[in-house]
Amino acid sequence: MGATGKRRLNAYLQLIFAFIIFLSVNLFGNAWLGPIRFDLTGDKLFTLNPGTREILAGLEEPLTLRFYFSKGTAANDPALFRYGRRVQDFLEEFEVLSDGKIRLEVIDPEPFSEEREEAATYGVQGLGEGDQTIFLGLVGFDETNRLEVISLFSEERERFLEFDLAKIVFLLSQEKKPVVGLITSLPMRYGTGGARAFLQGKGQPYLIYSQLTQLFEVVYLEDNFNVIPRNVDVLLVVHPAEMTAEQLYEIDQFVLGGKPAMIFVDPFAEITPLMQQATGGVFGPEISPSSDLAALFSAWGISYSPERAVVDYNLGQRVEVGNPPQVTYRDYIHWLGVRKDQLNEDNPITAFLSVINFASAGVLNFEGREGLTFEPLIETSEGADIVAANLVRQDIDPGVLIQTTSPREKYTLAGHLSGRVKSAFPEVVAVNKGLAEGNINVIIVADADIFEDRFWAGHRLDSFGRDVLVPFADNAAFIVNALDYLSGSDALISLRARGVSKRPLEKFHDLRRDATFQEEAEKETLRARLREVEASLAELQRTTPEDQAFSEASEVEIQNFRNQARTIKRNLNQVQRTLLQTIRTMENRIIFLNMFVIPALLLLLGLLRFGLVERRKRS
Amino acid sequence: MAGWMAIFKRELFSYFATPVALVFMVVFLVLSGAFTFYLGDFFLRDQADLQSFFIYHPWLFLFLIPAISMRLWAEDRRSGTFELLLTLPVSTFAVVFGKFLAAWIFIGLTLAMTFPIWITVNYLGAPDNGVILAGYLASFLMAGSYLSIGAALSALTRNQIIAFVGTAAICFLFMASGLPLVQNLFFGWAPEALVSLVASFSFLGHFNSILKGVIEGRDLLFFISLIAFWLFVNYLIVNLKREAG
Repeated sequence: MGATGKRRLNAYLQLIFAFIIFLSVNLFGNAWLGPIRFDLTGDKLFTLNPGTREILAGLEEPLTLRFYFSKGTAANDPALFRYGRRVQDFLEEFEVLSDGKIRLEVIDPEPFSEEREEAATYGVQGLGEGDQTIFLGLVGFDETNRLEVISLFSEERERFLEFDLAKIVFLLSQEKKPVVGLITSLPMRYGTGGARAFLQGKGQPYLIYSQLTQLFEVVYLEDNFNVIPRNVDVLLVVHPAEMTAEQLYEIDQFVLGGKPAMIFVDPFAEITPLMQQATGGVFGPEISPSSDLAALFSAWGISYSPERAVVDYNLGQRVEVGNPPQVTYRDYIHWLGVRKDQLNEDNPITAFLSVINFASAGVLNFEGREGLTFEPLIETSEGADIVAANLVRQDIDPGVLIQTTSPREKYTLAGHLSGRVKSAFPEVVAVNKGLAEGNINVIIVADADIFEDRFWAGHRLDSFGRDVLVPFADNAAFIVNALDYLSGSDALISLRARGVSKRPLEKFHDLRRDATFQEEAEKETLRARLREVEASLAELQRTTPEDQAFSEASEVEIQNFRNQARTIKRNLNQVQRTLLQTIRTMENRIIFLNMFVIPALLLLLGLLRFGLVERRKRS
Repeated sequence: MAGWMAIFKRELFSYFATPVALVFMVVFLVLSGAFTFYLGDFFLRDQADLQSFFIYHPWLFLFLIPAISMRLWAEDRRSGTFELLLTLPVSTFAVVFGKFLAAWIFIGLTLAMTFPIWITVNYLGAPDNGVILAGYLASFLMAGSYLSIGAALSALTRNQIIAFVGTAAICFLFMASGLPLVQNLFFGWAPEALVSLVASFSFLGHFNSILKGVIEGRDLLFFISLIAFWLFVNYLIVNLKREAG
C-alpha cells in the first residue's frame, strides 16, 4: 500500500470513529439531557409550576408511576414520539423533585408480551392495531394498590400535560376519595318513579349519579337537613327544593370556609310533568318546577331569575315528534345543544368537551364585584333570546317561542365564580360567630336537566345484545370534570392551563371595532331622525286640521326623511368600504415594507459599491 | 488552530466583495416574505406570532444554503487560491473552521435583515418575544447544520453543481429522517434504539421543538454535534487533498 493509500485508510478510520462519537454523544444526550431546558416562552409553559413542586414536595407516602410508551413503534410517528419523550421528561422531573417518593418505571410493551396484556387490563389504550399498536399511557399506584390511569396522552392535551400528571399524583397522595355532599330534589337515586317504584324494580338511578358514586363518596343530604357534615369536601346542589334560612346559612358558611361547591338551578325542570305522570302526583315527592338560591346569589353578585328562560336560534335541537309512521320534526329552540364554540376552551373543565345538551335553561349575569371574578364556562351563541319561563313550562308547540324580530345576543349558561365575598347573613353571623367573609370557589349552572339521562345518553344494544347506555353528549364529563377540578387542591387549581391565551393581531381588531362604533353612531342618528319625523308628523296632525294641508305637509316631511335615510344608508356602506380599504391598505403596506424595503436598500448599496468599483476601474 | 480569525475575516469580507452574496440576501428576504404572507396566511391566521415566517425556513434553506456552501471550497480550487490557502502557516482545521464560521455569520446577518417582520408583529399585536427569539435561534442552528454539510461536500468536488445537488439531497435526508417514509425502512429489523436514534436525527423535529419556545439540551447538542461532525469530515477531506498535493 502506497503512502496515499495509507492516508486514505487512515482518513476512513477517522471518519468512522467520528461518526461513532457523533452517534454516542447523541444517544447519551437523548438519555440524559431531558431535564436541561431553556424555556423562552413568556408564560414559562415548559417549566414546572410552583403548584406542581408543592404537590411533589408534600408527598408523604411512596407512589409508583408506570409509564407505558411504545418507543420503537412510536418512532414511526415523529410527532407522537417527541410528545411521548416530553411526557417522560416531565415524569423524570417529577421523580427527582419528589425526593425519592415517586418511583418511575418506563415500560415499552413489546407485542404479545405480558406487559402489553397488563397495560390493557389497567385500561391503557392502544393506538393502532397488531404489532404496530402504540401505547402511551400512565398508571399510578400507591402502596395500597389504589389506581389512577391516564389511558392515552393525546397531543391535543399538551397544554394540560402538567395539570394531568400533577392531578394523578395528587389523587394518589390523597388518603381517600373526596366526599361530595349532594342536595337535590331530583330523583337521582331512584329514577323518575321515586323510591317506591325503585323498590319495585321499576326505576333506575340517574346514570350520572352512578358515575359519581364510583368516583366520589356521595353523602346525600335530605330535604330537611340541618347541617352539612364536616367531612364533605365538595357541595353539589342540584335543583334544590325551597330551603329554609338555616339551610341557606349552612351553605353560605360552607363556601365561605373555602370549600368548593357546584350549584345547578333551573327555571324549569323538565322532569316535573313526567314525575306527576309516573306517580300520579300521589306517592312521589313533589318537585317544584323551578329552583333558585336568590339569597346567596345576590350576596355573590350573580343575577338569575327562575322566571327567565333562554332560547337559542342557532343551537336549538331538532326533536322527533309523534310515533312512526307519522313522525315529524320540530325545532325546540329552548333545548340547546351547546357546541365547542360556546365552551370555554381555556378552562380544563370545558376545553375538551364537544357538546353539552341543555333543556329550558336560565341565564346568569355577573354584576361585577371587587375581588370577585366570574369566568363563563358555557355560553349560548350570539343568536339567543330570553322568554318568560312560563312559556316553556307549558306543554306548548315550540313554534310559538320563535320571535323573528326580537334582538338576539349571547348569554352565560354556566360559570366559575371565585374570590372574596361577604356572608349573605351578616345578622346570623354576628349571633353565631360565623364567618363574615371568605374566599369562595363555586361553579354555577343555570340548568339542572343536564343530569337527566334522556338528554345525553341513549339506550343501544351492544354486539352481545346487551342493553347499554351510550352517551351522545358530554353532560356527564362536564359534571365530573368540574367536580374533579373543584375537589383538587389549590395547588392543582393554580396549574390549570396556562398560556393558552390567544394573541390576536390587535391592530386589525381595533380598526374593526372602531368601524362598528362608527356604524352604530350612524344608525343612532337615523333612529333619532326617525323619532323627530314621528314627532313632527304628530305635531302637524295636531296643528293642521284640514286633511289636504296635512297630507301635503306630511308628504314633504316623509320625503325629507326618506332622503336622509338614504344618505345614512350610504354612509353605513361607506363605513364598511372604508374599513375594508383601510385594512387592505395596511396589509399591503406591511407586505411591501417587509418584502421590498430592505432588499431595495441592499440593492441600492450594492449598486453604489459595485458601480463605484467599475468607475474606478475604468478611470 | 491559530489563524482561524484571519481566515474568518478574509472570508467574511470576501462576501461583500462580490454581488453574489447580495443577490442571495435579496432572494432570501423576498422569498421569506412571500412565504410568510402568501403561503403562510399571516393575516388570515390573526395570530401575533412568527410561526408562518419560521415554518418555511427549513425549505428555503434547503435550496439557498447549498447555493452559498457550494462555492466555499470550489471557488478557491477553481481560481487556484486553494493551494495558496494551504501553504499559509495555519492548520487545516483553522481554515475549515474560519470558512464555515464566516459563511454562518453571513447567513446570520441575512436572518437579522428580516427584523422588519419582528417589528411588524410587535406593532400589530403583543407577541411572545421569547418564542420569536427561540425561532431565530432554531433557524440559525438549522442553517449552520445545512452549511456544515454543504462545506464538506464543496471540499469533495470541484464541480459546484454536484456540490449543490449533493448538499440539498443530504440535507433533505436529514430533514426527512423522522418521516414514516424513512422510518419504515428500518422497522422490523433494526434494533429499537437505532430506530429511535434515526428518528431523533430529524432536522424538522428539533427545529419544530425549539420553535415552540423551549430549547432542550438535546436539541442544542444535536445541532452542535452535527456541525462538529461535518466540520471534521470537511477537515479530513481537505487534509487528504492537501497531502495529496
